[in-house]
Amino acid sequence: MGIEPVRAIRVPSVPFQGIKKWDGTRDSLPHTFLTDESKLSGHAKEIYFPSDESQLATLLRYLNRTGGHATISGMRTGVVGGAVPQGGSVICMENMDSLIGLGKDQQGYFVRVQPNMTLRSLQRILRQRYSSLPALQPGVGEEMDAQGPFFYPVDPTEQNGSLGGNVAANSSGARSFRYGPTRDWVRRLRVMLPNGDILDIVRGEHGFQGRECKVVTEDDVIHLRLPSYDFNRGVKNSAGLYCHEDMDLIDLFIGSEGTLGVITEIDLRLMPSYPVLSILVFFPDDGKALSFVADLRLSSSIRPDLIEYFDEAALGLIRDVKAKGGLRKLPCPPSYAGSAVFLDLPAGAEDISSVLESIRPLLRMHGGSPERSWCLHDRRGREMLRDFRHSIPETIFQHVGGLKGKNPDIHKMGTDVSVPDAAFPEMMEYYAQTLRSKGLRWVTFGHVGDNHPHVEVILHDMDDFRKAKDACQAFAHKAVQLGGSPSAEHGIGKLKREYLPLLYESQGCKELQALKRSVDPNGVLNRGNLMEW
Amino acid sequence: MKIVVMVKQVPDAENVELDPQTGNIRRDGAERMLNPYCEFALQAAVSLREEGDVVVVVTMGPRSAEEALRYCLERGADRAYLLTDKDFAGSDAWATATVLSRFLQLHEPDHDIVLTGRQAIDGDTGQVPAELAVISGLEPFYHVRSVSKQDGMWRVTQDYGDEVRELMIAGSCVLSIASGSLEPKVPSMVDVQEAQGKPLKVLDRESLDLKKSEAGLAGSRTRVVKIVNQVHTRASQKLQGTPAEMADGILQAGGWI
Ligand SMILES: Cc1cc2nc3c(=O)[nH]c(=O)nc-3n(C[C@H](O)[C@H](O)[C@H](O)COP(=O)(O)OP(=O)(O)OC[C@H]3O[C@@H](n4cnc5c(N)ncnc54)[C@H](O)[C@@H]3O)c2cc1C
Repeated sequence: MGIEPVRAIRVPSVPFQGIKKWDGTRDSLPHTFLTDESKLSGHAKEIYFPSDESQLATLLRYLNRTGGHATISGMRTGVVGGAVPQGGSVICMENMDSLIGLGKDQQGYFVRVQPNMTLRSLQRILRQRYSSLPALQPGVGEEMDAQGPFFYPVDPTEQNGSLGGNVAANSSGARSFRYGPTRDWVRRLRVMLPNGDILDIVRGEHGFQGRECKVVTEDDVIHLRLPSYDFNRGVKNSAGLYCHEDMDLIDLFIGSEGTLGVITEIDLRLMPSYPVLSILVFFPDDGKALSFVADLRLSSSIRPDLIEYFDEAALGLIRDVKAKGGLRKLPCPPSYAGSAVFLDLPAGAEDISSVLESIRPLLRMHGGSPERSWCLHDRRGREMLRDFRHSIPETIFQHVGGLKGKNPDIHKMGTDVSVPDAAFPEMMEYYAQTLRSKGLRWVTFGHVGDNHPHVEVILHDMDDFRKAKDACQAFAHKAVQLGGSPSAEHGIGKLKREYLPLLYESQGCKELQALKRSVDPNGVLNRGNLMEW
Repeated sequence: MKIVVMVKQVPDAENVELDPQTGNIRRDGAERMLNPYCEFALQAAVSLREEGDVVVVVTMGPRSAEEALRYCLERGADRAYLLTDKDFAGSDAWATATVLSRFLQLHEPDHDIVLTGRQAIDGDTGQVPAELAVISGLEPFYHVRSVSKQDGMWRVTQDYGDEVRELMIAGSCVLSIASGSLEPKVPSMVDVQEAQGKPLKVLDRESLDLKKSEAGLAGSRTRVVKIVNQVHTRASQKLQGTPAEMADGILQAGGWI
């Protein structure tokens, strides 16, 4: 990797008046821009909607000059308050959401997008005819048509999140079990530094020497010095800045939650699609499902793309919503189902039988049976199963949203904890014990393949909320003690800041602060994310 | 008892691209699905079936339509026929009905009932059920919401929106099924695996004893001359003033808000 200092690109300023703005002193700002899916409430003076890099640079320079600061807002589906402003301005990226084009390099095909394109839009685009889309090199679309279709493997459950948000939080999804988090698929980023200059970083081209890297801007040299901790790469992890010796510069910005720069362009790598069988297998109880998963992970012959879990309470939640007339387009979990595991298994039409045959013995061993399952391989059916999975967090978020009227300070309380394989049973036991002892109700679902199910407390009032908060703190401590991460995919934002000292101690946090200050001396970007300003 | 279900594979409704020149749906490379009304017909067939009955699904279409048949086999159908031939390409409703009718006559003459979807969401004519019935000497019934067996006859509910009719029908007939459950019927691993082994027979023009002039474009009685995509725009208009003035405003706008 290059040891040359990285040169930032100056972007010209444009007239300030041309930037779309909502002024909070004149109109009341819509609440949706002042919160996110954590339901944390924020406040701001004004909201800007830049439509290109020049407008964004103009804004950042203005904020630096005037002592202002801004929170970057994507689609606000984050669940840790990252996009929730605590004063200052909001810079909403929604006008930068276009496809730039399809491209190709030695490693394969990629798509270049503006940051606020949603995952859903990207997926829709990837189902179109590629030659009808803009291309970065002539003929790429036609080539891709001949070899396609292609897909982007990272699949955070919330498809309305922006890709910029995904990069900022290093999001992952069910398929990260096989394909890793967003980080592994980012080929290149354009990042606007807090001073309004741009870094154009292609993976593999710029790195740290040890823990140091120099960025040369038009009128300054920024010495980037990484904290002395090593980011835990042994488990799924999105807690704090990624950092290890000799790392790629691009990785500093992925998962930095908008604290070091604004992402303005993203290249994401694509993969050729292949046929997949989606299977939901039902078990009599939670223990059986978990022992099935443990054995499945040891199997050398069965290689799922994802392994997701639904405990009895999670299935009960879906049954309850359906009984009240909700989720009409989703099937109801059968009455015999006490828990379920969701798998995606690669299988072409000709190997469907052999693939299904291969998991039968394991199913039976753990009290399941091939009759007690759902099995789909058409696109719509598979999407329906994903919606079924997604309906759980969505229902919980709506439920918590509904409590806000009476309890304005309430927000959802759930875990985002991952631990190493060996520690998983202990962690699961700890969740149950702790929550039971506090008299709370909860559901457990999600990324069990990565030892990362979400445990969501079903809150009713502030009393539950306080108890749940204590429990979640205890879970974070336990996770760290077991070598895991208290924030595996949602990031730290403003709600989980207290986890960083657990992981990096006060020394690491001070070094984080220092790195932030070297890039953003005036604190114009995302104050309060990861650390207090 | 033998229940025959006529189904069609259509472009995935969420994913259609229109050819800007012809206004036609682009079929090359487009994703496909079972026509939703045909899914209702299949549901009706499966709910009718009792021990010993057979549900036969049939489609006329390109080779890829086999996916739609497998889909039905995974959801309760017992066997399937794919009627496919390059000479079937371009069939209008009449030519399609001719092919389906000949199939019934030659391959499943002992059917007890024939179910179809109300219309295919790509062509949208809704004529095939009636024409199939006419050519086959059967009676068609439209707007069917449900069907059951009672005293050796079919008890059929037709839903006309403002009126619901209950009929008793003797003998085989063609039912055009208009509604069903939106809650999907999800197959199990066993259903999917068993479907792999269920018979799926492919028949061409010759095996249906059809002349070239009877099917495809040659056998069609209609030509689509032109398709224009209509764009409906909605505009909102803010009315201000006293209630009476606003009421006048509504009348001036043609009585519509
Ligand atoms: C029902 C539900 C399910 C979810 N499931 C998953 C899941 O499976 N996996 C997962 O990882 N997450 C999940 N999330 C969390 C969330 O969807 C992701 O974190 C997503 O990446 C957020 O994207 P966004 O556009 O909504 O970002 P926002 O919430 O708007 O912002 C998130 C953070 O990114 C920063 N940011 C946004 N855009 C930029 C930019 N262009 N440059 C710099 N910083 C930026 C913001 O300042 C903020 O700190 C889920 C959320 C919900 C509500």
